Parts: sequence; C-alpha cells; structure tokens
Amino acid sequence: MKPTSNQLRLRRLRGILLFMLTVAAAFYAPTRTMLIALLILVVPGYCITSAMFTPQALGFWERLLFSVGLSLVTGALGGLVLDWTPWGLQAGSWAALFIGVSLAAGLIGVFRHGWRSLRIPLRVPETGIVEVSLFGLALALIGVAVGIGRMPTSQTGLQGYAVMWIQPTDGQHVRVGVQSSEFSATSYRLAVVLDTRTLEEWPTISLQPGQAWETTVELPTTLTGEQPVEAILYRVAVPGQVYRHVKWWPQQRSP
Amino acid sequence: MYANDGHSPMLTLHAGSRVEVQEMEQTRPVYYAEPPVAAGNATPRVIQSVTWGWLPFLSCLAAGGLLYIASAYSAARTDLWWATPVSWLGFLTILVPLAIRLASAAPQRNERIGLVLLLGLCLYGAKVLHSPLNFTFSDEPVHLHNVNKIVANRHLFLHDNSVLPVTPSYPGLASITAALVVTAGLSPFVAGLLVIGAARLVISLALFLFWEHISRSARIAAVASVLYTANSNYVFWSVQFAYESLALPLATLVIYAITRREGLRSGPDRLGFSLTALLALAAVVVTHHMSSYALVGFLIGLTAITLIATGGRWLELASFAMMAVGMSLIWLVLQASVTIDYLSPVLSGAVRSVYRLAAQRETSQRQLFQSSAVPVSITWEPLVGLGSVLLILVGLPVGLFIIWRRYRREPFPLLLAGAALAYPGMLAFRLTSAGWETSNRSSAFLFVGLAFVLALAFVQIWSWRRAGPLIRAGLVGCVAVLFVGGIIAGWPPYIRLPRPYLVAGMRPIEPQGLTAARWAYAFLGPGHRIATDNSNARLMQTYGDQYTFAGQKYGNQLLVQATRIARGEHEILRLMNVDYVVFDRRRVSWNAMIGVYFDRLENGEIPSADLFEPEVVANFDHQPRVSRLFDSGNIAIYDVRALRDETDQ
Repeated sequence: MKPTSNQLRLRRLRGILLFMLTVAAAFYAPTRTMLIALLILVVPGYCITSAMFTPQALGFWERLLFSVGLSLVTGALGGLVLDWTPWGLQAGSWAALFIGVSLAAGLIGVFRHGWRSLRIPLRVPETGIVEVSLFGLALALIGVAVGIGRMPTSQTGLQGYAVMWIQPTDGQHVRVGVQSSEFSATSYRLAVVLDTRTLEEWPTISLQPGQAWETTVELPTTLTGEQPVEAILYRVAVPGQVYRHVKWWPQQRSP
Repeated sequence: MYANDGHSPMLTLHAGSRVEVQEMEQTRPVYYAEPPVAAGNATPRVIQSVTWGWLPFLSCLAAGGLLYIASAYSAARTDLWWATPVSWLGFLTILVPLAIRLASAAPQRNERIGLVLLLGLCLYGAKVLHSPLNFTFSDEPVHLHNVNKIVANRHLFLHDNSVLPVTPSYPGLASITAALVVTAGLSPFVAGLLVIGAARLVISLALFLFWEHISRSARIAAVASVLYTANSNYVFWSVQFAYESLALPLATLVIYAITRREGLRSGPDRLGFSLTALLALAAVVVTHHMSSYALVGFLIGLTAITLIATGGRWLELASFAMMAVGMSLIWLVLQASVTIDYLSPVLSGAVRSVYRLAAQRETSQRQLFQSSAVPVSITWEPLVGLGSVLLILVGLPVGLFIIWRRYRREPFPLLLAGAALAYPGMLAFRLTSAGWETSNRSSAFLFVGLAFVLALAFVQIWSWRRAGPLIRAGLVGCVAVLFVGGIIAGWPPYIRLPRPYLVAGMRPIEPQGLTAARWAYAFLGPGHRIATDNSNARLMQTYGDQYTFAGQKYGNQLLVQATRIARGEHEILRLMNVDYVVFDRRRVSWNAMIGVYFDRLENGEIPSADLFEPEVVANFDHQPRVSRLFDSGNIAIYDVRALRDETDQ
C-alpha cells in the first residue's frame, strides 16, 4: 500500500528526531542519561518480545506492555544473575547484561521471523494543528504544575533552627561546631565551660543560613573525668536563654 | 486499523446483550497487529481511519487537574485553608471527564487505552507532585537504603535493613533502580520515580487488556480501569517507592500473559506467553512476598475453578500454580526465611483481632473509613467513606448477576467474582486497629475482581434503554464517590497533603532529622547501633548509614521514652548493644508517616501537648557519663556507650 502524505511526513519527522537525539546524546549529558534510562526500561523487553512472539501476535499496546514489563523483569532478575558473578552489580556488568540480552534476543527474533519482528506495529492517527496545540497546551500545563510543586514553602508559621555539636579529637581537644538553618542571618554567643570555669568564649558568631562554624578547643591537662566539658550557645538577640547545649565527658572514647 | 482475521478470541462475539454487540461495533477492528495477507487473497481488509478522538482535549483537562493539585499542595505547605477542597477539585477534574468519555460507547479502542493510561499516569503525577524533591512516604527511605547499599556494595545481599529486615531479601525493586543509578547516572530518587512510573504504565495496560480479553469489551475494560482507581491504595500507597509498587504490576502481567495463553490452542505464541508468564512470575517472587502469595492464590483458584466449574484444561494451569508455589517456597526457604517472622504477627494479629471483635472482647475498635495512622476531624469524610462502601454493596449483586448470566462457564470471570465477594468480608478487618492494615493492603488485590464486577453493572445500567442524562450523571457521581471514598479510607488527611520544605536564600533547609542523620554519618561514621523513634530510625538508616532500632521491639520505646534509667533500661541497653540514643522531643516523631517534617507553631513554639514531658526530655541529660554530642533543638544525640558498658560490668 502506498504511504499517505501524513505517513511520509511522519517518517521524515522520525528521521530528524532520531538524528537530533543522537547529536544531543553525544554532546549533552542529561539527554544521554534519559536515553540510557529509556534503553533500560524498554529495549530489553522489546527485543525479548521480538524473539518470543510472531510479528502478528501482538498489537501495539500489547507490545508496549510486554516491552516495558519484560524490561522491568530483566532488571529485577538480572541483578540476581550479576550478584553471582565476580564483578557484581556495577555499570559495566549492567551494560553488558542489558546489551547482551537485547542483542541476543533481537538476533533470535530476526533469525526466527525476519526483520519484521523488530517493527513497531503502530499507526499514528491523523494529527492536525488542533491536536498538536492541545497536546502542547497539556504539556505546558504539566510544566507549570511541576514548577508550582517545586516552589519552596512560605516561612510563615515555621521556625528555622541551628545545630550544635561537640566531638573529642583526642583526650586534650574537642571540636565544637554550629551550623545555622535559620531563615536569615543570625548572631550567636558561644561559651565552653568546665564545671563553673569558662574555658573559652566567642561573644559574636554571625552565620548566614546554611553556613557552619567550627573550632577546636584545648582542654586543661588536669581533667579528672568527673565533670563534663559543656558548650552553651545563646542567640545574641535573646541573651538570657540557652539556645543549644552539648556536653562531653572526658575519658570517653571517640566514635 | 485493520479488521481482525477472525480467529482471535477477542472477536468471537458472545451471545449476549445489546450492549456487547453495540460495543463490538465501536471497537472491533483493533485488537491485534495487521494480519499477514497471502498473495491473491481476495478477502477485503476493512480500513478504519484512526483518530485521536477526545484524547488531546481530555489531556488538557487532566493537565489542568494536575495544576489544581499542584496549587493545592503548594497551599497546604503554607497551611492555607483552601488546600483540601482544591486538591479534591483537582482529582475530580482528572477523573470525571475521563470517566464520562470512557463510559460512553463512542471512543475507539486506541482512544480508550490512551485515556486509561492518561488516567493512571496523571494520578501517579499527583503523587510525584506531593513529594517532588525527595522520597517522603514512610516506607520509601527504607527501600532507598537498600538501593544505596546495593550501589555501594555491588552485591544484593551484603547489607542489613534494621527498620524493615525483610526488604533486603526481596531485591527486585532495588536491583532495577540500582541499575538505572549506576548505568544512567541518575539519582536514586529520579531512578525510583522512573521505575515506579514504568510499573504504573504496566499495571494500567495489563489490567485493561486482561479485563478486555475476558469481557470481550474494551468499554467494560475501560470502566473497570476507572473503578480500579477507587481502591484505597491506588493514588498514594501503590506508587510509593516500595517493593509492592513494582511487584503488583508484574503480577498483573503474569495474569494477562496466562489469560492470553489460554486463548490459544497451540503454536509458538502460546509458548511465548508461557515464557513471559514464567519470567514475570520469577520477578514477582524475588520482588515482594505478599504479591507472590496473592499470585499463588490466584493461580490455585483459577485451576480449581477451571476444574470444577468449566471442566476445561486445568492441568496446565495447575502446573503454573505448582511452579508459583515452588518458586515462592524455594525463595522463602533459601533466601527469605525472615518473611515468616515478619508476616505472621501482622496476619495473626489481624485475625485474632477480628475474632475478638466477633466475641465482643475487642477493645481497640476504630472509627470506620479513616486511616488508622492519624485522628481526623473532617466530618463529611466518614460519610463519603460509608457511601462508597454502600455503593459497592449495591453494585456487587448486579455485577454478579451479569457474570452468572454471561460468563458462568468461564473461569476468569468466575474467579474475579470470587475476589469481589471477598472484598466485603475483608471490610470486617477495618473494624479493628490490628486488622485495618491487612484489610487496606488487600484492597489493591481484591479490587482487580471488584472493579470488573462493578464495571459490568455500570455499563449495563449506562446502556439501559431508559437511562437518560440524569441516571448517567448519577452513575458518574457514584464513580466520584467511590474514588474519593477510596482515598479517604486509605490515606489520612494529615498526610494526603504535603508538608513544608523550605529555602532560605538559595539553600534548602532540611528538617532537623535529616540534618541529624547527615551529621551522624559525617562525625560518628557509619554502622553504629542507635536507639530512636520511628521517623528518625528511617532517616538515620538511610542518610546516616546507621543500624537503627525503632518501635517497641527489644524494649526500644521503653528505653527512649524512659523518665529514669533503672535496671530495666540497663537490660535493654545491654540487649540492643546500643552506642547512641537519638531522642526527638516531639511525640509525632514516633509516627513514621509525618514525623520527619517541620512543625507548625503556635505563638512561635511547638504546643507543649505535642512534646514529651520534661522528665522524659531531660532523662539522658541527667545521666553521668552520657555525652550529649548533638543538639538541634528538637533532636539530641547521646553517647550511651559508657552507660551500656557499666551495665556489662
């Protein structure tokens, strides 16, 4: 049967798309990544289907179902096979598995049923400007929805925070750190005390959101282990209220 | 498309109602690929033009529904009142127009399948929009941990999962996700979304084709596909990054392959369907325990019905059933024996609870048609939940009658009728706290039968000669009630809408639990034994790479929530051999579904009723030799090794 003009246009479009995808995959990593993902989730199953069924056995939708389904099966069972090999589940062994399965199954399909076994049994409906516009609009709406979904939350009614830690480096030093996850720049006062004695003090530590600060404090050589070394953090804006509090008991092991 | 060559089971017109004949006229020439035409064959081929139908327009509407949902989620993160109604509006904007179109006799088969896929993928999109940056549902970090460990170890079974110890024994999902991570360089999150999206496509197509094959009607299959979305797990639970979300779609692939195989007498394609079924069956067995056992039940039931009711070829079906039993048993014994310890308390607890309820001794009765996870205060929701159950109970006898009239000699419809009949029985489990989860989880399986039976009733009433616009509108309303009732029954409102995530400047602000977990990994190093609550256990395991204790096992909860350290707590420390205790002062941290998020404040503070008592909060601070290494305000990390070693001495 002679192809219609629409089919010819479609074939040309398919060729151009394939060419563009190849170029994009060669030079643009995200396209390459998405292509590899598609190859893993569709191609092995497609080739296995070609090997197992006669070309006229399955329609387009069944072919799609078995292609995706059997690709997932290949990934789920292929892991078990690779687990038994000395190489395990690494990029090379996975690639060898997927390419090997696809090639072997594809060749079996071609051997059993000819090149026709690899043909996609799809007839694309007549597509005019209205359909293209409507699908384009749908894609645009989904894009807007994803954009809205990824927008950060308003901070109203929520509270940022700061974390503080203490870590022994050896018996004579501890690391003390502060990290701000506040919503705006915040100033802190930090004191390191042993019993009632202040070992060191930092009257103002100003941190931007996400910024961290850390120091090493030298401890007295006369530590008995009967009292903990404590670090106490205050917000400069609220000086009388302990904001964070950590402590370390000397003679305790490091992690 | 071309007319079928007539030997396919699809085109064997059944002696049946006017509805079916009308249906076949609409959808006839489409089932299989173009048949081979011998040279000189005089048989004319009927060519029907293929059109998109309403698919482009309805795609726009569905995308608009997603836009509503995204707006509602955004509003929910900011605690705006209109978030809930707009989210329902979004869901119904997706569902209702598609349901109306699919219920009518007009669409071609291709359009129907396109619409069914659109419905399934848009509802998956709603879940993706719920958590667009990271996995946040309670089981998702558990499976993410498995993926991370497989990528790191390059082997499947070299790691533990302390939160859900059974999951490493079923590595199907983690295996394919890890393959995408290491070969395509995707993040585990994006790889997981792709795998679950592919699984959603598989289940949508497989169920449609299965129902279409056994009913010989694309219309009934399409309506059943719409009704299947009303199962209580469809929108959220069944598309979370968890093993059942992959195994159930693969199980439907097995069922469809067997169904197609049964339609063929012999030939290479019959072998092809057998091999497809066996491969997918093996994948189900290594992916999820309950799905493989449900599949075993399905195959045994199918064999029995074929033998008893129809006298058909039961021996080959029995061999499939035996292979399913064999594979499941071999996997259980050789690789996954921990499954017995995992499942038996859940199932026996559910049965015991229902028995006690029947004997009027059950004390843990729960409010119906709400998820048991969090208390709810929305008054109309139980009414809609009740309404959806009533609609099912009304529609069920009608559908069963149609099955009896049209399909009583066919094993697949009879089996689906059995599954549909089991559904009301499982509702009894929802009356108890222990049985709720069992009943809720079973709905995804039983709805395969129930949706089919209800679809028969639906199409019959829709096609009734006297059915005017009012009756049809009522039917669509029923579908909407079933759908909304399903979501209400399975997912509490507090987690139906997403929780806040924040950005200050250009940097994301992570919840405290996540920061604590990352700190533990960086400063304490991986592999420590940590006692904590259910939320922080998941985060500490996944992002901190720690071995965590959660829940009540070994006395963990008693230890973490103790007001003083006495002999019993010492015993627990020794038993669990704990290095650190991660204490979260918020009570909600023990709820793994919602405990990881930012908290809404009242007057700048977390309400005191939401916090543990001061003596619980300060317990470890008062212990000598217990270092408080980390403090984030809500969460503190204590080094309890000295206390534990004292116990040893």
